[in-house]
Amino acid sequence: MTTLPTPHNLPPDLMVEKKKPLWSRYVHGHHWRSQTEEFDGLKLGFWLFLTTEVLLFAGIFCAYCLFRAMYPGAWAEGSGSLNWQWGALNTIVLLLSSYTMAAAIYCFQTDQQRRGRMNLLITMISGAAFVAIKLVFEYYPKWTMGKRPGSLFDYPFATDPHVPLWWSVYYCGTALHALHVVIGMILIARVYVKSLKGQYGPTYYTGVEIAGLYWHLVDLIWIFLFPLLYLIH
Amino acid sequence: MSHQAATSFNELDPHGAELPGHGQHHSHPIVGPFTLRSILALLLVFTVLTVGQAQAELWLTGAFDIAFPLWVNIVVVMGIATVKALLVMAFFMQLRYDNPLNTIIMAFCFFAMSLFLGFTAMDLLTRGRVTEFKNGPVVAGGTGAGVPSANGQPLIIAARLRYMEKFLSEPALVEARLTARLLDTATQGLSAAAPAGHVAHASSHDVHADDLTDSRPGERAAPEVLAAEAVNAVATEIRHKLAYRQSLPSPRLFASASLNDKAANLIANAHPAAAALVTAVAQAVANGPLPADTKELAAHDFDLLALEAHAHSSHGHHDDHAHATSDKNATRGKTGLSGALHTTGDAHSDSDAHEVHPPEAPTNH
Repeated sequence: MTTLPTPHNLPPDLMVEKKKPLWSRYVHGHHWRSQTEEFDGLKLGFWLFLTTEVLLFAGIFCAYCLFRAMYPGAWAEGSGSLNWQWGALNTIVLLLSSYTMAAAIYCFQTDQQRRGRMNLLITMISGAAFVAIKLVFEYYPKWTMGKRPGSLFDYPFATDPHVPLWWSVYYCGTALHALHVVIGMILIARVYVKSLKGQYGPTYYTGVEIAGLYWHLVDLIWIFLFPLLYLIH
Repeated sequence: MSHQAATSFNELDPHGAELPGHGQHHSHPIVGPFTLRSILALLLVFTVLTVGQAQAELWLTGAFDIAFPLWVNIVVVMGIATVKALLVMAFFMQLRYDNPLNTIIMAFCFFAMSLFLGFTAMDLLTRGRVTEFKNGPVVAGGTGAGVPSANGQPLIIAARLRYMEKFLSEPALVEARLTARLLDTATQGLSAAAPAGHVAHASSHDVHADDLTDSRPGERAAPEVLAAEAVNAVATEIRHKLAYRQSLPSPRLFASASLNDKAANLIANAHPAAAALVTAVAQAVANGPLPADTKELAAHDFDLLALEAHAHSSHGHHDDHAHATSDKNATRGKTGLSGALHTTGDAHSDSDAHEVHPPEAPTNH
């Protein structure tokens, strides 16, 4: 597609004022000089926010790296008791959901509303699958065995005395990440509901873009969390 | 203030963004489906590479006898993760097509993160160089001994003691333990009765002998050997439930039911003699008395459970862990229940606590 449909070249039956889709009637905030500047400005602001999210996880990565350097035995023992298969499955789920999110943006850019909504739905379902896999196959078995964070630790067969630290880092990192997945799902749900009214289209898709950025960040964090926790022995 | 000599200057729109055809419907570059799918394919390939890297390293070590230094694993895995992250940021998050300022912001974020990690590492990891007695791990702070529920001991010791108390006193756990021990005795008896020359998986330390198929397909094993394997499998199952703290309300009924199932299997596979032996054991478990309990035997059971838990939880380190733990048990004999029981009921279990701590840091006297 070489040109995007704009309000000036819609098919004639849509050129009637009332029938023009919502996205084509979008007026940018008047404190912005143009819609482009509004879009770019919002994106810039959101990138600034994303850096703060990365720095939030940087704290956990810092704890991981330093405790790993100080207590390698505990880290080997803890990492060994994680099942990399579930981690890999979760990675694939998130990568696919990142793809469908980017595809949803593409769909709204090319005015394919139903396809875009379908992609958003698949992204949300993948997020739910991620959380479900984590809870059911990883958290629940470990929790019942006593592998719990901090003072809740109750696993009687641990050998390294610093292994509760590992479990604290594991639960903090993955639970914070799962919380971000849920927040991302809420953002995408909001976008989905708004798109039902035709809010997003080729000339206005800022909401989808922003939700997409957040979701990709969630994927990015997992891309680093997975090898650190599951794969490095 | 005017920079545009030809056109009239609009103070509210100095850059001419509102002029027709200028920026009003400026289309952000569209990342097409072909690009998106290629990037997804690349990401999936890298994921497979990352996951397979560990296996590849093991294979290479085995096939070509190369020993890889530890940092190779870390560098390769984190390198692949970085490449994946760059792909997601450049194409899915469209940094490549965006205002470069967004990329600069993200790059600055990683720079800030490297400052964070770098300075913290510089501090924590070199403390020993300045003050000698700070060398080595921080024992008191890292083991959770300050937590109220830990009673001044490392968390892992407190957890072990809690479990040992339950293990020794709770009726269902005691019954399960004794049932497993009864099955062990039966296994040993059966394999002792087997004709010489047949390898029997009679050792209760072998936690992997829970399938009936023998490793030598062509040979017909003696009925005692098959029966021993079946009984051992049930014992292992009970231990597994104990190690993973799954509920087992009536262990004797569970054991006899499982044994009867195994007997039915054996009959179906045309081993009637073995089936008869297994049924006999099932009846003994269901009706007969359970063996007496002593503290030493309880300690031995606990160590078996620890082995079971470690063997199943350390993927890829199966044998190392199991052997290491059993070596520790053999040589020091102080881990687990045995260690704590040797100190006469003392809640602090000094010998056990000292044994699991890393070597004490040299103190300045």
